[in-house]
Amino acid sequence: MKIPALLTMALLLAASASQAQPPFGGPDDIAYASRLWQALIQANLVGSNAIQSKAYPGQHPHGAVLQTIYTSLNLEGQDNRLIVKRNYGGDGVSVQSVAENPDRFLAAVTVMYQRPGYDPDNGNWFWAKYLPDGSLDKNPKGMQLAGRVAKVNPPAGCIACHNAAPGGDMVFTK
Amino acid sequence: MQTNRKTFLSMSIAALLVSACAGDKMMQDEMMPFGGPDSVAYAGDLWQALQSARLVGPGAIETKAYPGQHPHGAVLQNVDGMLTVNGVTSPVIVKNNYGGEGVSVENVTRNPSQYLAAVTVMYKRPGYDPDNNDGSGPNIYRMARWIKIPRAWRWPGEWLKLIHRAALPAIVQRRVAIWCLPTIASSKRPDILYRPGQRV
Repeated sequence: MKIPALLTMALLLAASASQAQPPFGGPDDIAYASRLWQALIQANLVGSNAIQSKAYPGQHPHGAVLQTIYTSLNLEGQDNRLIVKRNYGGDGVSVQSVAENPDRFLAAVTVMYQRPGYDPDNGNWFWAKYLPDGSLDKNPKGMQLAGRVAKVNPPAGCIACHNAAPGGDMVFTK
Repeated sequence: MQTNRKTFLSMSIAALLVSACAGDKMMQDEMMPFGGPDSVAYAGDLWQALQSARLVGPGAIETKAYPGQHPHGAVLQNVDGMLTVNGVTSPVIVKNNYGGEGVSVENVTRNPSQYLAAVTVMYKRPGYDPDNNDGSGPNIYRMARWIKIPRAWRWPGEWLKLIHRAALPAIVQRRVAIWCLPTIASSKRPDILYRPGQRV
């Protein structure tokens, strides 16, 4: 009699654990995204001392003007591939106006960080969309955009779009 | 007594030689606006700092490549930010210049190291060269200096070997004289930068 009860409890726990960790926007993803942001600040890739690169015209769903940096980043002892995209928009945005005053037009920072074993189906990328202050942007349902965005059915968001990238590594621009 | 006089004479000659050498070096630096021993040594320090900041060398960050033009490469990458060299933190602009057969934005994006021809650097050193320029305003460079770093200098070992070769500063001088300040000065901007409103 005790064994079925234990099994039921284990199943319930497993079910609640899987509910607590959605493919993106869960507590672990949010915490990891926060640590990633701090590492990005330390590496001068975001924040007030961030290095700037050549701005160029972009398109939906990113910004009208973009800057992209390809590098690697050490986080928690692991040096992994990183792509940082600064997405610019707003009234008066242009390549020239962004070059003159990037902070004024910065709308979001989208990040791809490769974590070994994290999501083998999708190149092991951790996806995050930050607002300029480092907080996470949200989708219309209020879910914070960090993690496997959006490994859902039907497919949508970063993963669905980037699956179409040539080369099989989900990277369009490299 | 004889020995003391000899020793004194030897020491005087040695002192004269040392001061002549030092004077020669100072004169050399004064007469050479670029390519002098101090400039070359400073370029070495700058390169090390750029490497530490992962702005050049193995593992350097890559940015979006775009079409360039003479005297830079057919394809370029550009970053700007702050850099600390010898304890001084100042704005830096690093441009990767790509060229060679088959160079294109697409090919550079795929394999940047294959096409990297040179890295050109502007680093602002307060008070270093007020003539270029001495404008006013918050976004103005009071000094800018280009240092051409040929591809062969890309790795520290080669860099160190090459800076000891007497012929090299001449190459640098010629390139700097032909390209850098006259060209940049023609930007007609007080900050002598071409990219409008370059944030540093």
